[in-house]
Amino acid sequence: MGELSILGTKGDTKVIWDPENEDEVEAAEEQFDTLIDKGFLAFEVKKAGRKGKQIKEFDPDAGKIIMTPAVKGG
Amino acid sequence: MAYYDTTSGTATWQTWTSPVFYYRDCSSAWPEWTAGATSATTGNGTWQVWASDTTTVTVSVDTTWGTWASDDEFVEISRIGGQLPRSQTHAELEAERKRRKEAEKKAEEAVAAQEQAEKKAKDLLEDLIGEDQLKVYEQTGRLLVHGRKYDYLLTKSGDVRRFEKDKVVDLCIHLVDKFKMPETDNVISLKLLAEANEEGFNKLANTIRSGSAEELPEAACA
Repeated sequence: MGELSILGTKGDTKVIWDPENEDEVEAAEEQFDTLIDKGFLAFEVKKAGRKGKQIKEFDPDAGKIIMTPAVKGG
Repeated sequence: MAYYDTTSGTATWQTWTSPVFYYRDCSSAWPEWTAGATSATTGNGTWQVWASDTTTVTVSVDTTWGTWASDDEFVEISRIGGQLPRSQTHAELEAERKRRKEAEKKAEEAVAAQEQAEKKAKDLLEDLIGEDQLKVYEQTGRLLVHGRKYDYLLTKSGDVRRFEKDKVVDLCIHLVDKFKMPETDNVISLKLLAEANEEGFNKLANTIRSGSAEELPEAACA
């Protein structure tokens, strides 16, 4: 199962998909693309202690993805 | 409608002002009532002063009160001159009490939602760093992050410090809507970016100051 955690004002919202279910993958990808267009950053993350990587395209086999609002310098 | 009370003396004043006391500073009620007056005495002695030493109001304390609390829109008080507006009616006070109670309830709900959001953020951070590291974060409010080139110290309150070979650099970088987000979500975002795209992280960050660790006070990034 894939999991997309989207950070927001009320904590993260999760979108879960089965990589073998086309409809679920499509819905998750659509959500991903919408947020990227809004300036969100996406990170494919691994288990505790392992560094993740920044991604710009949805990968249904990524496992876990965290999307954060844009970051800026103060 | 008037709010009748048949008590007299200091007790009357306190009774009269008590509904107001719940909503406003008691000391502000009297100046509000006597706006435009040339003189007034505040405190518990007010009622006695009000009801005595008057040349035009010849009624007793109790009837003065009755006059004050009657349905007239204004009560003329010659002693201090001018006409004084009546205070809020009981119904108005009740409506104000309800409004305040609803506002307090909303504020409590907002605090509870904020705490819930922060808890979710910590759960997510725990997924990333593990239980032991989360305990350290909860105790210290700090998270040490290892980039490919430098190490970074992120704090829950939003401070960011970069450790270089022979100096430390205080940075300012945060989520666009930092103040609307759970504090720990800001930490998560910076951790992920510093680890996955350190160059991009440092390009975005503004340098506040740099120096040796001994030279720099606590980092501060608003």
